[in-house]
Amino acid sequence: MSPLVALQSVDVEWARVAALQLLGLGLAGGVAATVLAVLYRRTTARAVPAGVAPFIGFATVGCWLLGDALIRGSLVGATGLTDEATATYVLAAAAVGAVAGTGGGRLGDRVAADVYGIDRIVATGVHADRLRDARLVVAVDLPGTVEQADGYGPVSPAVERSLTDATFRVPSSLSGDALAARLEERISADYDVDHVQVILDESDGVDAIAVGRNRRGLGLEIPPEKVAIAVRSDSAAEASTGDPVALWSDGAEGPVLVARGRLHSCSSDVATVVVPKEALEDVSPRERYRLVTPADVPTDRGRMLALVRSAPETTVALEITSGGPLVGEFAGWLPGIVLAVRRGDSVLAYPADNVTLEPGDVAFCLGHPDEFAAHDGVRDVDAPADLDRTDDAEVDDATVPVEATD
Amino acid sequence: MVSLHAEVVVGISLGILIGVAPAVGAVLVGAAVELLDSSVSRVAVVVPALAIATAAGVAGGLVRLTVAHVPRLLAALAVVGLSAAYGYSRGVELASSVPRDWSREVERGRPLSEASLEAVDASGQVTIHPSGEIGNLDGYPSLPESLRADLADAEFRLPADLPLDELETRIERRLTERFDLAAVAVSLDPRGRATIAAAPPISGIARHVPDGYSAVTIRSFVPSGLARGEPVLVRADSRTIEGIVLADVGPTSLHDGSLVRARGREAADPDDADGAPTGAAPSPNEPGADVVPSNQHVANAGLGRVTVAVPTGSADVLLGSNVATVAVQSRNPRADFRAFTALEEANQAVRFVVLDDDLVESVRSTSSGPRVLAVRSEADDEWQFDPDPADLAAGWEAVVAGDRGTLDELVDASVAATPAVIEA
Repeated sequence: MSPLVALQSVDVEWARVAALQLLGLGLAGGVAATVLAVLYRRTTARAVPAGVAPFIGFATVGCWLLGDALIRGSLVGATGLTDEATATYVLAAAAVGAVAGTGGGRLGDRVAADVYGIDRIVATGVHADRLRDARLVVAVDLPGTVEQADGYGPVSPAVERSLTDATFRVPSSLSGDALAARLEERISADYDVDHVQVILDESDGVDAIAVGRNRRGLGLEIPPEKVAIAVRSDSAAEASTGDPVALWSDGAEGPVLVARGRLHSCSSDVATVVVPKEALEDVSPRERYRLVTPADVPTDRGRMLALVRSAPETTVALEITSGGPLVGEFAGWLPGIVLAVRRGDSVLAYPADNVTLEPGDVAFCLGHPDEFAAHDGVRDVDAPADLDRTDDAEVDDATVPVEATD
Repeated sequence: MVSLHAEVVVGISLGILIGVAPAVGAVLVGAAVELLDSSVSRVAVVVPALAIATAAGVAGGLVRLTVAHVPRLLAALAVVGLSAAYGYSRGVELASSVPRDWSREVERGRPLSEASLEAVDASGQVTIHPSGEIGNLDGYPSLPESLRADLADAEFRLPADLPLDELETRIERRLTERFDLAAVAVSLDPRGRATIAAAPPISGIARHVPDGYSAVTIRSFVPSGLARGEPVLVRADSRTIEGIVLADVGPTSLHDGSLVRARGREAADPDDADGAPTGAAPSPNEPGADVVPSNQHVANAGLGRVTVAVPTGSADVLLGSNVATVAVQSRNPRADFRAFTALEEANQAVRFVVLDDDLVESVRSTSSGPRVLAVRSEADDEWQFDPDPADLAAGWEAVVAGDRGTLDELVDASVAATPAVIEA
């Protein structure tokens, strides 16, 4: 028998009861969906996902029907549960529940957004989701001390002050590595630091942060006894950093050699060159110089420095002081490779083993820290030893005697 | 005879009745699974639901496992299965937005509005521009025009998943850091337009000037790479004076992109041909930082202006001259740098090569010839320093040191012979 035929066979009374019950079920489904929508907005600041509201309406109705069926054994009147009329009723109830759920969900969502002051974002997609993430944030406190990162110079006192005990707000959905990455991104983007590392504890609080800044300044690239100056010049188009250059000016009687040095950098009409300190007296900003680049033999100094710094071996500079343990000793006695001995203005490269060390010499040795630690002469020498030093002299704010008063 | 149609309808209805409970259960299971950060295959949820429903149906007498009831059974199971699966995925989705960590106090934030979505790029960052006039702050001096223009040109790239308050805080932080402002207030509207009011730096240069020194702005060619705080020698009118650079010319100057980008602005100050240098400490309204162009970034750098602190007694020398030469001294005390630059003074070089028999021969044979400072065999990752010449073998990488000319002949000859890729 088709449902339609079945319906015709029941009486009007049955239909009336059924209709009333459907109304009640619909209401129940709608209310359940409304409540859920409100609670969801309250907790997550978001709308319930699509399809949930009708499902809740449907489920509420279904549970009610199930309860009814278990208690009474029938749903409308005395009609059996496996009767077609009942089946039609159940289907209708499910549909009513779903529709009421949809409506109730929407109502609840709008009411809640209004009450809780949430601006609804209707758009879908990854970007819209990111905007929604901003609704729930947690405050992350930075620790009371900010460490200096290994291998980097210090950051400015103002930055350190600002980071100490600062509070950052981040989306609550971030945790663990993602949270650390976000904090690091924020510190390196908003502050003048070149390196930052954030370490979190198990409950996603900040355990420690370390920041650092690269050493800056031209002085770090200039060999001793030399200076870097900028002069007006025609740049040799092919010249590049490190090329030897000779500065020639146009004198009254022809070109005059003013100074020799190495090119640091050049732009269209200004060249920065590294020349001996004495050349400072011979160079004038009013003159224009021609740069002549003689032939040169390359050297892999940069690569060598990189290698030495990355290896456990280290270089030390030993100042031979009169009365010290190294005076009168042979260069061959020094540990490691004796690269050079600077004596006054001259340099003895790879000195022979029988070269005697004199007061005022500076000996440069390349070797393993253990060798140096074990060698009596080196261990006792009161040198500006770089055995463990990784820092250069820091200039920045620290050397300016007057404290910045922020 | 009951029609198939009727049986199916009854089956669906029974499915709804007995399937609701398992479906609700599936929702809860889904939510629990998501909150516990694990995952369960949907089959593992659907199958038990079907089993429970079947058992319930049979026990309740609604379904009998007979052939006649097969359509009813199938329809019911289909409904149960589908609603369990759907319920499970809804449960997962519901729970995915719920804050997990209740120990952390969650605050409400107000995000950017939908209208700002166009400004959000693929990596989830939004670009914010100042709009309207850059205002002054009550009680503070007004902004100099150049600073006002710089602020108006700024743009900020920030994550889009931050509330407006926090975005404002970050913008304020960046502006303070970049321009050294005494105070700044940023107000962001939900569309992503920032209204900025700021106060210029307090005392600019003057607080960085040491006791007994005065700041003088001089005109000179600026060595590229010069940084704030570096000690320099200033040569003017045949006198050399020691000073400290005050105005920052280095990587945090105007034209580095990291903190605050300038939108399409031209770089350096134009080269002007005349004008005496400004003396003494600049007025509080004139921040020192924008005085000096950074010619390392600029192709057309001409004469620039550098503000240096010099002993007050010597300041008049600089005031009296039109232009000066600024010389940066060495301040790298690292022993390895000193060592290798000293070797270069003595006309020595180091080269990275791959050893061949000729090279090994020349290293072994003469004690005053090239020497090997470090060597690495093909199998090794580590370099061995100060190797014994007897241990060297062709094919190994080595750092060869010696007189420039000799090294050049030896190395280039060997390089020409064996084109190898050299890797540190």
